[in-house]
Amino acid sequence: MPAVILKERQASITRGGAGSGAGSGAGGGGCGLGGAAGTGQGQPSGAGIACEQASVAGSVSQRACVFCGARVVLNPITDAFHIVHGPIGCASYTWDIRGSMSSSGELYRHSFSTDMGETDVVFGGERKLARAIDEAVAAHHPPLIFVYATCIAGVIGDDVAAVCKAAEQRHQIRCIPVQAPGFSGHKAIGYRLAGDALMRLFGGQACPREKAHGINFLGDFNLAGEQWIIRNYLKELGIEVLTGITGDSRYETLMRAPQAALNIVQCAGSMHNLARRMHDELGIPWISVSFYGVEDTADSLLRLAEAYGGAQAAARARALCHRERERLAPVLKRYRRRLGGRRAAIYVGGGFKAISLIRQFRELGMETVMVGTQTGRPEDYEVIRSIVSPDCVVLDDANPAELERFMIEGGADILVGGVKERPLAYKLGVAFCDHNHERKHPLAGFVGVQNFAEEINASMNSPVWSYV
Amino acid sequence: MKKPLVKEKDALVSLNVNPCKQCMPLGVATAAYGLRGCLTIFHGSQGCATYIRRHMATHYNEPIDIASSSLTEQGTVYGGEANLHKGIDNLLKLYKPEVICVANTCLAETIGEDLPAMLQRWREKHPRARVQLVAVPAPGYIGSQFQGHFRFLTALLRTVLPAATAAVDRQPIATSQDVTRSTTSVKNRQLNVICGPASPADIRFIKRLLTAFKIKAVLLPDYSDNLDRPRLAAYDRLPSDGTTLAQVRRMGSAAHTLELASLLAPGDSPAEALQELCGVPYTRLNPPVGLRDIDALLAFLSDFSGQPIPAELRAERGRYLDAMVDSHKYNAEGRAAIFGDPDFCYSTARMCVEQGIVPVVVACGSPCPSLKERLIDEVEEVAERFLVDKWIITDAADFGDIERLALKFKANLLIGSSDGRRIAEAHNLPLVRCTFPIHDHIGGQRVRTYGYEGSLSLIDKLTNALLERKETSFRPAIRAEFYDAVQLEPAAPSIAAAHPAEAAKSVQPLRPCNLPETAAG
Repeated sequence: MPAVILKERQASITRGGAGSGAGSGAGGGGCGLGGAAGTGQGQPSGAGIACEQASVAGSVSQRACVFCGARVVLNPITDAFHIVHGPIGCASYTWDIRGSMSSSGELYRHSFSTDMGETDVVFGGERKLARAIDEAVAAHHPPLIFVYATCIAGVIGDDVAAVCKAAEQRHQIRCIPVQAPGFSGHKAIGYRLAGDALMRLFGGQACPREKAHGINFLGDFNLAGEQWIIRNYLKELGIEVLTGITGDSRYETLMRAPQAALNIVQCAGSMHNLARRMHDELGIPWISVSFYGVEDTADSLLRLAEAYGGAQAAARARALCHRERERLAPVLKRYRRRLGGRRAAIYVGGGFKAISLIRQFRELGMETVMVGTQTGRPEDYEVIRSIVSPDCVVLDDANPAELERFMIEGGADILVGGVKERPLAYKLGVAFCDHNHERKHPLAGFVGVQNFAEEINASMNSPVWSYV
Repeated sequence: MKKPLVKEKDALVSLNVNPCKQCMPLGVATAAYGLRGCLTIFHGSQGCATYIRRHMATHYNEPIDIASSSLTEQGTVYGGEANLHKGIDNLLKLYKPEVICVANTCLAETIGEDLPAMLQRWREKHPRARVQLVAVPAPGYIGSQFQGHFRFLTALLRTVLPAATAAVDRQPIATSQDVTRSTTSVKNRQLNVICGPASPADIRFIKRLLTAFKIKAVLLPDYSDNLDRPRLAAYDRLPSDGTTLAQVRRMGSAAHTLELASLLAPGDSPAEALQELCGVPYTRLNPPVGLRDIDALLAFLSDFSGQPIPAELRAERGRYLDAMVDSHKYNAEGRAAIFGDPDFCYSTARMCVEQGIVPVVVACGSPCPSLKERLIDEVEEVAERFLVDKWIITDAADFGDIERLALKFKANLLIGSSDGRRIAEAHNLPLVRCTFPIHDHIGGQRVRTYGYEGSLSLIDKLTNALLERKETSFRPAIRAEFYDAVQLEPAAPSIAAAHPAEAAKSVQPLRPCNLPETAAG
């Protein structure tokens, strides 16, 4: 039986080719949602897709929660002591959640939780949390502690802010509360909370602009060493990176962030709010970048070089891109022969990655037939719809039934997504590319382009598909 | 130099450091996959469903669909009934399930959501709906996934059976707990078999066993297919195999219940619930891991069915014994740290003891004081055989504790989930992954520990881990101790012979050493 599309979900499903904005009837009506009544209802103006909304109950959303959003952003800070104040599940399922790499310590890869039990729920968990912080300081002397208050701490009214404030005074270190109960919104709210926590850490110390130097790299989490790859490029261009935010960052590097002359923002979904606040409150301008795919990487390097380093840096950037393109060209040519003409489906966390992936597939001669995100913003969807074909299904906060239906309808050969989507793709006979937190080879930069093509080919052209 | 540990002795006592447990809803959702046409909805925050789906999907390599009522701030303050009702409605539209397991998570329990009342009101709104709803309170601040598994089963029986048994004309029931002997001669009597959180492959083994003994049985839960699906031409998003609701209804009229579990918390036993509800007597046996507990299960089944133990199983037992002998000397070097849920720890430790592997650390992640009570004598016995003075059995342990204890008690083998991999990597210890969750290896759904063949495949892995460690380390270790440490060090000044000429004379010619002196002359 073909998968049903819930009525409440129809406004979040549309097709490509918007361009002119304003609903444009390309929504439900153009979707061919056979069997589902009522088309195109509730089309918002602008991007023509309902997004940034609470998940529909019972829809089996692929999204996690507010806490998850906050933790994935802050967890890569390598010398911070991350305490989850709540029952054990929240910590258990987010332990070592990103495959972010560190050039120094490994403290961030441990899971610390107050493991609230029934008595804590009844009598409150503040004292246990205060003791936990004292013990953390005694055992590990961290320069920085984050306390994530999850659902239960929120609902029983533990004053986590007061506990953290008292701990800061007691220990003379930073102890920052992140009030992230899962019910207080969706994952993107957690991103904002993480940004607010970082602003609190920076303490509003704007640097006189004439002294500003170097850049901050926002929205890269050093998965499989990707930040190091980009930093190597920037080193060649003569641009100093003060800190990643938050990939491979430490308390000390983060405290230099307010001195930056420029922020570059890769994962806009998780970092848009922080970039805006750093601009408004610290006076740091920002530009968007993406280091996924040849075109986006080259374009980002050039724009950054021009914005920050002027003509000399731009010349170096052109030389670097030329060299890397020359190196990649023969490799990609071989892969294009194997991959060209095939169809891709994309379901990822944020809009920026989806946009880069659509372009990257195009570079390989592949067409995108379905693209969706968990937390895309209206402006992301506007771009997405303008670069895909009119037949391509575009959807926000999808569920397995929708992914199944549109992958089958679009004849997708491969799905790019997260861990949960992998078994579904395989069951449907669709190849899979792991573009998620847990990847163990870099997919960013020019080297990432080759790895990406290799992975697509490894799954899509495997002999196993001819036997099943 | 000693590496500093993340959790030294007496440090971080108010913190769980690297959890060796998951939460109750995970166990509920896993057990619910053992019921045909059943889907689960968590009443609470959206994240709980997503985390658990991800955690299960990487272990079982199967699509895992769990819904959420996706409570918002408003729902949390004013009650989430509307969300829950809408969630159930949507789940019915998307999957057309026969059963929906509705589990209250931490959040719903804490704000006092009255699940039965909310489900009753949903029924009133949908008088013609045929779906069976099962309410399970599953707050994550109590117990762990282990308890969640049994809580779902108990809740299912308590929901389904009272109505069913009233309608069934049952045979008179026995009341004694130990009735197996009195039921042996009766053929075609139904046996209920309750399984703990076993792997799909182990559940499949139990099914085969019941067929081999020609026993008419209801096995609960049976996720052997739903969590390890064969490749099919078309994908069915509804878990379409497993124990049927009709079978569950028949459990009340069974002759006997066999519960394969060891360390249940009071009130969590499905077999006890069956006895209380329908008067079905029960026998509780340890899960069939290791010689003694497999033998006990086969003896029970033979007794119950009146069938002899099949020749094939007897041959498997013979091979198992032969393998025990073949491996015993290698295993005698084994000093295991075993971690996981209470029953996994208990069964695996008992199996190790039989093989002569000393379980120097047995640590379960959830609170379970009875683990130590039940195990202490046999661990002590095997430790004494091999002159091991120090070992520990503990509960409510995290990986911070397990790491410290494994080093303190000189474990050379880690047995448990893939979450032990960080300790394995940090201290260069072999890790045999054989319980949930296994995230970094393939085949979690196919792990075998039950039955002679299952246990034997596990033992072979343990022995081979020890052998490999020995094979790759004995040359450098021996060289370091006896060559590098002495021969490469500066020697004491060599001493010249005091009287070289005399010394030369005193050297005797060699003589065949095994001949008597007289014969040589």
